[in-house]
Amino acid sequence: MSYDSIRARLNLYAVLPNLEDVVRDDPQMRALVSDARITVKFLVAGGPSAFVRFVGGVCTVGRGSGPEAAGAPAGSSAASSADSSATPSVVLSFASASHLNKMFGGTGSPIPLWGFTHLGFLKNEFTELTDRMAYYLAPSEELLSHPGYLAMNTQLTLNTAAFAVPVLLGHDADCIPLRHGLTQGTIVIKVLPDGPAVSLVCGASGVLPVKGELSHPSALVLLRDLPTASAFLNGRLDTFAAAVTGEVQIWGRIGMVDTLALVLDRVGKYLTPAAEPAATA
Amino acid sequence: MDTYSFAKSQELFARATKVIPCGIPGHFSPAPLVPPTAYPFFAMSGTGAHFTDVDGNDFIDYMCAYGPMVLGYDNKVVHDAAARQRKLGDTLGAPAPVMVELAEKLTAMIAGADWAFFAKNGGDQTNYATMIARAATGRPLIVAIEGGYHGVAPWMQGAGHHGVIAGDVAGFVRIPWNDVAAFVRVLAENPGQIAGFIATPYHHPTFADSELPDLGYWQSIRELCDRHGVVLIVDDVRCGFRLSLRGSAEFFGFTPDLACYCKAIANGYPISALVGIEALKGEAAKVFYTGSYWYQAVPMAAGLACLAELERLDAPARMQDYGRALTGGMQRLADEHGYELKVTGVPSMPYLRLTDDPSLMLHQRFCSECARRGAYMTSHHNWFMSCAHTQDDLDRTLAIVDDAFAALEKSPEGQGGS
Ligand SMILES: Cc1ncc(COP(=O)(O)O)c(C=O)c1O
Repeated sequence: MSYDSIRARLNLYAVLPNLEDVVRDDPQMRALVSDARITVKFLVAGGPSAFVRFVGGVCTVGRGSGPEAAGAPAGSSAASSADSSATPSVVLSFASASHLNKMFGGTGSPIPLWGFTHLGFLKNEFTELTDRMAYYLAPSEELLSHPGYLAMNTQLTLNTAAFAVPVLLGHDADCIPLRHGLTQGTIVIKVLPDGPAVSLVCGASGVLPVKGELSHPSALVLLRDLPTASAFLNGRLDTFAAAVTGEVQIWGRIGMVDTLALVLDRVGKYLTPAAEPAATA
Repeated sequence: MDTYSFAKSQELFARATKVIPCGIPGHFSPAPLVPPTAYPFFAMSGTGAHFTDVDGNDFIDYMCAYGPMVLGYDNKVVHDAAARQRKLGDTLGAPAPVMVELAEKLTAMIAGADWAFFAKNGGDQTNYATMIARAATGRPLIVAIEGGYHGVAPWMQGAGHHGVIAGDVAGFVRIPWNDVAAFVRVLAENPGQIAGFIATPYHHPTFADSELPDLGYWQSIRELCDRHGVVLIVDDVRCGFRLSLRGSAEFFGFTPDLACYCKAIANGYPISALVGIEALKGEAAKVFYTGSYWYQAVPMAAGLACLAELERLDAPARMQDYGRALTGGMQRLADEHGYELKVTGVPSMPYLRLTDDPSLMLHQRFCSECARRGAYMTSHHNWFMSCAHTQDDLDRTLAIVDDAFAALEKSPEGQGGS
């Protein structure tokens, strides 16, 4: 699969789900969308799709085109107006994966396909929200010195890493051969003492990322505190040294963690803030 | 029982990380020692079955340097032989006569071995063996076992590992251990393409139970290799001379075409050997393969002395006996404390695991409690017995194990964050 297609999947499946956290944990953003009742859909021509739904002040992000609104155009996937969670929709269509990636990089705009009556939400609230997410995901030393920012950046980066795993295992040529190393049990990555945490449920059919800490993990990666976690996730920690000093503790099925590390090492190919498709340019 | 602390190891490791990638890279990396804070990282000296770390802590060693230590550290017989050769010369302008003597010794000892070739590391020989198989057959593909370890060359590490490209592994097909049908399938799917089959005498992966060959497994593989003209390679780097002095293939009742040896040849002096059948001698000669230090005479002299000692001591039987006594005693203690300790592999190289916790965290805590008390055991890898382990070592180890189980009972929930 091409660099851009993989990056588009990462943007939709690993980055976009962070909107849930931003709405939940940033009071300003929660207030901003508290009355919104709308689904924003991202459709890439011949590529991946995702939806972001706002209902009752809660944001939910998922794969696919999500629950349909009443009055969806004929031919769109199952217009289930009976679904109580159905909301009006606005569809953002992208001509290609690279078109979508440009928008995530802040240099392109989508073509709204339908749902023109909701363009106000798109232009205002939704843009403010995605800008806020982008802000939390582009740290500077100055920003990281604020505890609130540090916590959000760490949480969102951890989410992004976890949700990138199934995408990379599914499509990245270096990661596909690593699938057999992640076939059984749950890996929990947790920042001590109280989180955030993510869990990766590994089964024969693939890896399912879950926000939060599941019980009975097969392997545990414990990060001593938020600053350690931040340094770890932003590539500023000597992980080999940290694993020995106890800043990063690894327990259980370490072989799984080794494989996970090989996958996570490849996230940066696609999602560093300045990532450009140099390899395929 | 007192427990150790490791301030100097930690300090030295911090220095090491500044000037050495990983601090301690490779199989000695503290990363799989869980938690690393319960283990020594640097050794100062060794005698018999013991080593002393940089903090002055004494350990009964059940890792034996991951195999090379087989007669005991600082073994006088081996050191004396090495010293005699060192006086004559080590890396000289031409090989020393001892090279021929060592080849004669190995071919006399190992069943089916008609020639021997020397290098330094196990991986030198597993790689050379695959080259000979390809040269001899004119075919491209080598069949290996999923999870089988043969060293660190790119093809041995597998796709997805850093520094490995698809082309590095393209000539290899991995099949499950103990799966004759899978080999039959690969042969059928790649007619006239399979050059060699490489596997360890039994399957000893890390983080998982060891698996002995099923009854008739090796005989079926041998028969299939013969029928299809495939070179049968045994990687005896780890098991060699701990199962049988005539080679682990003899132990399991078959004869390979090529067999790789390393760890137990010279009690820690750096040398590895590939032995093979007469029919492959010419092909081995054609494959150009060498290294700056491969003709070092001191390790060869050490090897000759070590092999003679292993024969004198009936080493495999001795190590099996010790391993049986150790693991049996540990299982009894586990049972008394209400745990189940599973032992797999052969007694001279056992892999142990507390089955009460499939995540291995309990087992990791158990091994770390033993290490803290002076029995050096890792939780992820098979252990190694040596000829130097004594009844006193056994008694002391079992006392440590008893105390370690008691420590686990005192803090049953101590994993992870503790
Ligand atoms: C079975 C087996 N083969 C090959 C090797 C590689 O040997 P070396 O590390 O000396 O290259 C090892 C090392 O542990 C081994 O256990």
